[in-house]
Amino acid sequence: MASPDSSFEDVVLADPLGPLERQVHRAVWQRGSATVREIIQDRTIWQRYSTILTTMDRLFRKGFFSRVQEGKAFRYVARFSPEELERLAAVRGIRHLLKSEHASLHLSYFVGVVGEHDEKLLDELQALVERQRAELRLKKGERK
Amino acid sequence: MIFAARAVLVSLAFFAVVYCSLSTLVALVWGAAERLRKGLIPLSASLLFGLRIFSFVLSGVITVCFALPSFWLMERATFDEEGGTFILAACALTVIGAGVSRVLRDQSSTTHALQEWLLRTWSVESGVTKPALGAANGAPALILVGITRPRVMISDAAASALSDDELQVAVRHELGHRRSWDNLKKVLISASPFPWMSGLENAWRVAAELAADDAAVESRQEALDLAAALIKLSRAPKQPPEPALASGLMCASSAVAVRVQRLLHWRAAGPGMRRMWPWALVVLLAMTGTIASHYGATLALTHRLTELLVP
Repeated sequence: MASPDSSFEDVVLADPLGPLERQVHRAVWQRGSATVREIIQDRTIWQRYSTILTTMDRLFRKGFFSRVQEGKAFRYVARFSPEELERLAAVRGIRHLLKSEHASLHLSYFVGVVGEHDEKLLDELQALVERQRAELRLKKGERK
Repeated sequence: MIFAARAVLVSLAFFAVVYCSLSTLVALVWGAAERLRKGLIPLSASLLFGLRIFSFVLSGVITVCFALPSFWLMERATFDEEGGTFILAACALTVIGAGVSRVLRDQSSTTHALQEWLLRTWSVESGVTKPALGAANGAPALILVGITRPRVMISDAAASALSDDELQVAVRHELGHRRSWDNLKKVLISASPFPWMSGLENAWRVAAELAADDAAVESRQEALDLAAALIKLSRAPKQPPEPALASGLMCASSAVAVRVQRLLHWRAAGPGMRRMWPWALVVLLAMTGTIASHYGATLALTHRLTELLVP
């Protein structure tokens, strides 16, 4: 488990977030800082107090949150943005693939999928260009 | 003779200290700016290029115009340099040597690639003022080659894939690189090596492509032609990367999808922000005038600074 002082990459690459942890992280990030009670009051996450408390404590211990004492409770602050977590999660997945026994095979699947995605994107962009060209021709025709 | 050698030695040491300090500062500022803007705020190519070579130009100017004359005029004739001065001077020579060798290596690889691709020379009409070069053997679609007299090189594949209008606007993209002296800028970047600058260099390359897109397009029709050209060429079989000292239409560091999206939302730019350089020139002239009128005091200050920084 990463310590709260660990670097961003150490934290995220060591231990990815589960679905509830992701939800709680996003809720705290959107507020800037939050206590367990504030997250419950926001009503964006429908879980029991003890569940949220445990999740926030776990996120702190994993190094995703920092916290300060506020009365009897803790106030938590997210150390990284959801976008940064997404990026590192993707990096983690790709590194995992590349470390495996069949890395070159996985890489060829990956390149294939990216190629298909690129082709689709290019098709969509070309359709957009052609539509705008047609609109422009139409406008020119109307003016004449 | 010995005094002249000492002047060069101390000036080189001074250059090393100033160049490394300024470059580190630039790298830190860029890192912080990147974290803040998260790639969302577009930055102008001129600004990024200025930031990239700022440390090299400024340390060079300060060394030649101030450190060297101040040593010559104000230093005693006794030899009192320590070992640190020699180490710093060696650092400066390493930086300069690395810069020169990078430029020579890039120039050689560019020339070698061009010799492979070049077929013949032919003129392209329709708005292109300089003759263009035709190329084949798997050359990149369109690239601008040459440093002092750059010319556009068009591959036979690009010439056959693009319509006349698309080819014309694609060539104008390359002429945009020519007007901005982008190949010369690449030489200057190669000549001023420093670690941790690759992020800034990539950002400049992307911004230079977008600036060349903007320079090529003057109407919505042309924006759509350029977008169509980019899509057609990105579907072409895998092309070799552009040589180090050339500027290609399909630059590896800039995503085609982003450029096409930008062109699809093209709007005519307002006149206000286009010409910033006259103001920069006025500021530069004012600064030069001020320093020239206090040149003696500046030399004394530089001399004190040299004694402080160089052991």
